[in-house]
Amino acid sequence: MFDLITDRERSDVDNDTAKGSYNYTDLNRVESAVQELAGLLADQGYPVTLDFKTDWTRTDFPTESQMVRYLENVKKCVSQYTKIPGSTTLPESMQDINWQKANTIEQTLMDLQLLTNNMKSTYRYSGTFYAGHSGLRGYCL
Amino acid sequence: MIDIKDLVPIDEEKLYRYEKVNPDGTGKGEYVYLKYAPGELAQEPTAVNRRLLMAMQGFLGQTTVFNPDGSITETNQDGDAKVTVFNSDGSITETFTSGTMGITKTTTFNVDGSISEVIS
Repeated sequence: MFDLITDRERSDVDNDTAKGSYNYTDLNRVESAVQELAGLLADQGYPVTLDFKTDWTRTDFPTESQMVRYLENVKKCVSQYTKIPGSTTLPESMQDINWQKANTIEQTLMDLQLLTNNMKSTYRYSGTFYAGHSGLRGYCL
Repeated sequence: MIDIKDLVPIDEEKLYRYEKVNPDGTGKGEYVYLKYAPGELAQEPTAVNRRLLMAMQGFLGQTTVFNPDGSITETNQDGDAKVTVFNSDGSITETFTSGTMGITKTTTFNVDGSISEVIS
């Protein structure tokens, strides 16, 4: 599973913990996960064409267009695939990002990975069933 | 064109769940968990999924090369290739190769107007 951060709390912000601020490490983590996810989706027939930047450094200052791309990448993965019904909606923009919105972005990626894995687990394979057959998965005459 | 949608379960604890039913098909609300277990496989099977079914409708990345000898080589994103040769007798030979496996279709236009397609 992706090693993402989805458990930020108000106290992280108040106490200025590592999870309480949003910096280049968050950008690299999310962009790397999106890149991997896009590959997973493409392999399963859900191609997503995205631009990535996974080498953010402490001295980089992301532009507005870069942050639009950053968030749009996640939205494109959702729109090209699916989402868990009732899950929290992605933020409109990265303006005024807060700990809840940061959690939502990474939780969305975790959800997409879960759904992809679940989907792959239920695949049926050529030679194991017949058209119109509704019995147990894998059963054949 | 048909848009193919995969089954995408939300709950990973229900992936292998089947419901017991009455003879008329109504559910009993009782579940069993089963998984196909054919043991070691001799080759990687092809999943019947969106990727496959969209590819069958033409949506698979491919590069087409028109060769100097008049033949056409189409190589898909998985590295599999189909070579189409237009033979001097008017027939067409299409050979699809994937790894060590191959399948050939020879199309012949008969004098009576019919068309024969032979797989070998």
